[in-house]
Amino acid sequence: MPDPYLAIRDIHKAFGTFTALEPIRIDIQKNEFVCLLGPSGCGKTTLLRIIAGLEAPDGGSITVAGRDITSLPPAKRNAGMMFQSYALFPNLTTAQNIAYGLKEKRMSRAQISEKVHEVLAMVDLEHAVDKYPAQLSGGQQQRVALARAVALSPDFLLLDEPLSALDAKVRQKLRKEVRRLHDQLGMTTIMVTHDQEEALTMADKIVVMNNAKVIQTGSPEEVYEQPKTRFVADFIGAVNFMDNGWLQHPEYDKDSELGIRPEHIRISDRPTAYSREAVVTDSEFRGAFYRLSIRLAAHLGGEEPIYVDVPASFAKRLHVHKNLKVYVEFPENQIIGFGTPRSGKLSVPV
Amino acid sequence: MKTTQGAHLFTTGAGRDRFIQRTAIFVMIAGLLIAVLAPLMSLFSRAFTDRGGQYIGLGNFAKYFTTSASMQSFQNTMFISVASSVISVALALGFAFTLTRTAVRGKRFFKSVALLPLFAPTMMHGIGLTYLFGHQGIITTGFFGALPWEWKIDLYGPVGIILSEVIYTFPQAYLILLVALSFADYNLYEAAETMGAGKLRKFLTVTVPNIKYGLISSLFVCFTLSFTDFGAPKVVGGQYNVLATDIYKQVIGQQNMGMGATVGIILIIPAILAFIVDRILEGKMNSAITAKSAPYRTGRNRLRDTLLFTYCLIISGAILVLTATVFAAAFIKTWPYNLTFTLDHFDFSKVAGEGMKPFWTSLKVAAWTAVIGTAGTFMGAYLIEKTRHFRLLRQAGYFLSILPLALPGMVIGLGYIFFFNNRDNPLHAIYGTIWILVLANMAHFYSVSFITATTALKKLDREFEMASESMGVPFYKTFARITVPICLPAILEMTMYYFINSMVTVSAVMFLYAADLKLASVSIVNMDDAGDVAPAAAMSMLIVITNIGVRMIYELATRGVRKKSAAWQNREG
Amino acid sequence: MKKWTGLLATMLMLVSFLAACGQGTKSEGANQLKDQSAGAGKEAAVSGSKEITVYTALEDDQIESYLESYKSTYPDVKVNVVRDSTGVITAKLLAEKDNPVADVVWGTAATSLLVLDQNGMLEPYSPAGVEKVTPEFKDSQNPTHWVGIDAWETAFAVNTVELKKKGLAIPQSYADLIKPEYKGLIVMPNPASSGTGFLTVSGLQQLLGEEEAWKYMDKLNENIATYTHSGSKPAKLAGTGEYPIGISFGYRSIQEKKKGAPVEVVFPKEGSGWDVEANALIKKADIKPEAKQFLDWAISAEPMKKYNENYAIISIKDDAAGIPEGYSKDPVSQLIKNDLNQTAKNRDATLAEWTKRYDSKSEPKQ
Repeated sequence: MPDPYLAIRDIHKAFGTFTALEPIRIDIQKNEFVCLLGPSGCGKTTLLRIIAGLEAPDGGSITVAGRDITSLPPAKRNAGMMFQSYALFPNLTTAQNIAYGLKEKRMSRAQISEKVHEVLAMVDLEHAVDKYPAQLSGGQQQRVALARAVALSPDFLLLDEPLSALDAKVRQKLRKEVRRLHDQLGMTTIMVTHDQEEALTMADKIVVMNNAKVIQTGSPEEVYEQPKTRFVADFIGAVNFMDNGWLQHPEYDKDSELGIRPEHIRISDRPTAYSREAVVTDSEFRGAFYRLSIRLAAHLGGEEPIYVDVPASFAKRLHVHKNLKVYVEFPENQIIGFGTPRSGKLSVPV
Repeated sequence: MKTTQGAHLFTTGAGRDRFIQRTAIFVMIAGLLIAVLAPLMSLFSRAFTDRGGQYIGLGNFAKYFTTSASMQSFQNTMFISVASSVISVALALGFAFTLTRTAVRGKRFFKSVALLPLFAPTMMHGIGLTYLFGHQGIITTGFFGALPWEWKIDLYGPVGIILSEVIYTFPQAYLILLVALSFADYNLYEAAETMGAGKLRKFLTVTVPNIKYGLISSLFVCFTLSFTDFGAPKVVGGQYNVLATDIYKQVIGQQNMGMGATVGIILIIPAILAFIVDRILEGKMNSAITAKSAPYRTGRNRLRDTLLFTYCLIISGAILVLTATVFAAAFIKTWPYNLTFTLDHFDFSKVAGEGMKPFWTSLKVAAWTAVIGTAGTFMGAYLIEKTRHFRLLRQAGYFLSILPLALPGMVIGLGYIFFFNNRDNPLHAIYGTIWILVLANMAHFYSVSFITATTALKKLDREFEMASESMGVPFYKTFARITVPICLPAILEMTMYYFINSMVTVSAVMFLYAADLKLASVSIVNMDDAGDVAPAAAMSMLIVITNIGVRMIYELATRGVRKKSAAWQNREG
Repeated sequence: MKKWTGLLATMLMLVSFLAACGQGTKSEGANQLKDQSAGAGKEAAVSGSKEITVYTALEDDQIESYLESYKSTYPDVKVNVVRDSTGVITAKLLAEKDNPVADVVWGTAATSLLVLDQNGMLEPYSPAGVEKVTPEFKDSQNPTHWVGIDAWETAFAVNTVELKKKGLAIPQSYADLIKPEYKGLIVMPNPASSGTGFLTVSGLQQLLGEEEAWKYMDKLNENIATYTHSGSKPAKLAGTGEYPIGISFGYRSIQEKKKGAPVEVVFPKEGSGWDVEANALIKKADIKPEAKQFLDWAISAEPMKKYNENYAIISIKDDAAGIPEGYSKDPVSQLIKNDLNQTAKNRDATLAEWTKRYDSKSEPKQ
């Protein structure tokens, strides 16, 4: 593994008695797209602001390409930052907004104008050059903010919940756009988000945070398929938690808690080798699939329902309805165990 | 404060920003300490001394509360304040209701007229009343005997004071209630209607709770204003003593500073109370309205509209008649015997007015107060609202900034005498110059401007500062290029507020003006004292006209600003 | 709640910080600003330019014309005039006893100047030409502590139109004023603030004797509508008819009549109380030559002529002058016998008693 491009070492921060960040350690490679993912208040934004230099850490260090930037002011870090609210100046036009930081850089008028058009072309907003932010749509504003952040040719790009203010359709489109821009510029990007889908679709690497700590770092597949803790499993995607007492997975202790994702449970209308009998208690149409709530025959009356995702076509074939008797199977290799190491076959190299 | 541990390099741009901001915060706090807290402390300490400055503990208070005349003044003051505030709020409620919840015509006209009393010194309301209801008043004599009836009221005393205070406080109550009434959630009315509530029930269960805080707040504001006003009791009080005139007697008449300070402290009490209530309500008021609230929709109701239109017409008429009477009196040769036109009363050199000089001095003081006050207040609000250093100091700064809200002008004036007219104070040099008048006015009117500025700044994206910091733009460039242009309407409003109030105020500056720096408002008091009522009316008129002029300039300027910024202010939906 | 305690704590911190600062500046400031005085006189002391501060109770509308000849004679001296009514000027001077601001007192009641003299606040100085001043109108000591410029006396301004409307006769004497038909029609200046008010009260005391005077004033009080701050206001209120009878002084009442108000000027049959408007030099560390110069000027021929335009009785007799306009006879004959020294001695006691008895009727400003 190469030396990290951006290394965060033991960065910690407290506001009075409130601990915002426990000592944090993260490695980020050049050209990597990293998502800091976690619920609100987990410290991800504080961490981003410390990287940006907008907040001073209580201790620890940050290096970029071996250069210690811990005590540098924001302007000297050569980071491009995009804010949650976009922070576009309402009394300046698109061009003026983008040129705002450039003017501090001893660039000639012509150079500035050239740069403004260059980045606007990148986000496909050349027609909006003389418009004020209020005259732009939310998505356009977001792109102007992005253009403004990259106009300074930063070494790395910091994005604070960049898509949270947009509606679902625009958000999906812009995910691609941000990612494309990242690839096109060969940028190193750190993005804060609380939206797991956003993190899964955009990131090369996800850093899951909770309660001021990094809980897990890994590729999207890794954190989804092999969550290290109950929290990660629950936060990213849907999961059924169950007791090994009755699941009886051989690799885990009897009293350990295991999980399985709804789409990994196999369902059928007739019994199979390892199947257990169950009853459908509810079904929810989700478009491409149905999410069924089932109750195992052995547990009737107790326990939480188990969720099973069934492709719509298959559900139709089963004629799913309430009280339908079904048979479910929990494939051993899809069982998620927390804490205890699993057998080598499924683990993805880090 | 952990932020200092970040050990940023102070040679960099950001280090310089930080240094400038921190220095500015210190300067602001020092300024507030000098202009607000120190004089107040001086006043407090003087209340415990006798004429000669010897410490006598609670002696002054004991003496005050055991003297029957003083207690009488206290009771008088309570009575007129309660009566004035109740009447004023009741009248203003009807007026504000009409303008927000009905479809009457001429709303713009009513709105402008309701604000007219703000442009005049309170003495003018008293002078107007004497010309209407005095022994030779137009109404008392039935238009000089031309009408078959006469209407005599016993003006000099509580009646005159209450009438003046109602006129004085009406615009204030009206403005507060206007805001309270315009924030309505129509959903609640529709909900009440679907549940079958009648008109009265809707009013009692939706409207009243909705404006409850506005009502309480306006009552307190009116109470405090009447409690501390000096101008009106001075002119129409007759032999009816109130606290404000007591202070004046003690301080000017008898030069008994200790006792003056004591009465000053008694004067602060209701103001402090109002201040606390206001602060508590402030928080509650905000939570009452949410983003989901729907604006009020006015229904059709001819009877209601006709009645309320008549009501507003009567109120506006009263205000206009009062003002017009003063204007007329200023041009009448010898009221009531020789009603020919004259400009003689504008020659102030032959009366206690001492020529036009007080007017020019007032203009100068008002202009400086407006310019320095606006700049200082806006920067103060900016430092408190938008910087991230010295959280505790900024909190202290916030407190000191809203503290003047609780300080009557007389208290500020007295505190300034005690603090600045002290040879040991290096700032003694400003005593007797116009700068102490400017400073006193700034302190007196700081809070409202500060709140205006803070409100405007709060509307700005909190991330602007960080965005520019991350782009390496120094904070002062962003301040000049972004913050100030966006807040320009608020800044103009503050400037106008400072100017108009500095023109009309008398309570603070009365104690502070030097012999050759008499102000127009003070000269009105002096002229009225000497019995030169017509010139006093003329001077009042000059002040009103000046203020209306400034207001018009403000309107034009904001129109210009609005036009210029229409592009970015006009959100497209 | 928590926010408030936080603010309170901050506030306390700041107060202590302030207290510390205050102590620091006290010792420092004392040296720098030793010779600075408060108010208007300040700049003079600092710059050393020719500037004097004059306290006066003269009427506003007189001062400017009086000063014309001074300004033409001494164009380089800046005169800061502090004007207020007699009571206020007296209180101000007494309050500033330890740090006097005024250099000169000009045209202020002799009874007030005598109070200052009794407090050791006057510097004896005989201005040039003092020998021409009538003895009754100046201090008997040599050098003189105070020198008068004119005398003024009680007069009633009576609005004839209003009284005719009410069918009342014009009161001619003090005795007339307490008749019940005048109830609520009379205004009088408050003696605590107004020199005219005080000379009227002290005049009554000398006419009737102390005890009888209070009895009389108790009755008069019944008829008084309001007591005013200044001695001019009753005449002006009579002029507009707001209150038809004003106890005022001769000059102001005549002025009202001259201006066209329907008033008649009445000098009470019993005789008028009077006082002298006088000048004095204030005792202080740095007595300026300009101050003495001002006092010399103040009794010179030019200003005397001006005083005479306003006051029938001036302190330097000019035999050529006849009976002044508005007066029916020699004004001096109207004056009662008046012991100014005694009056001054009793001033505090008289005012205290008066305030106790009648102050609640006084106009707000005292």
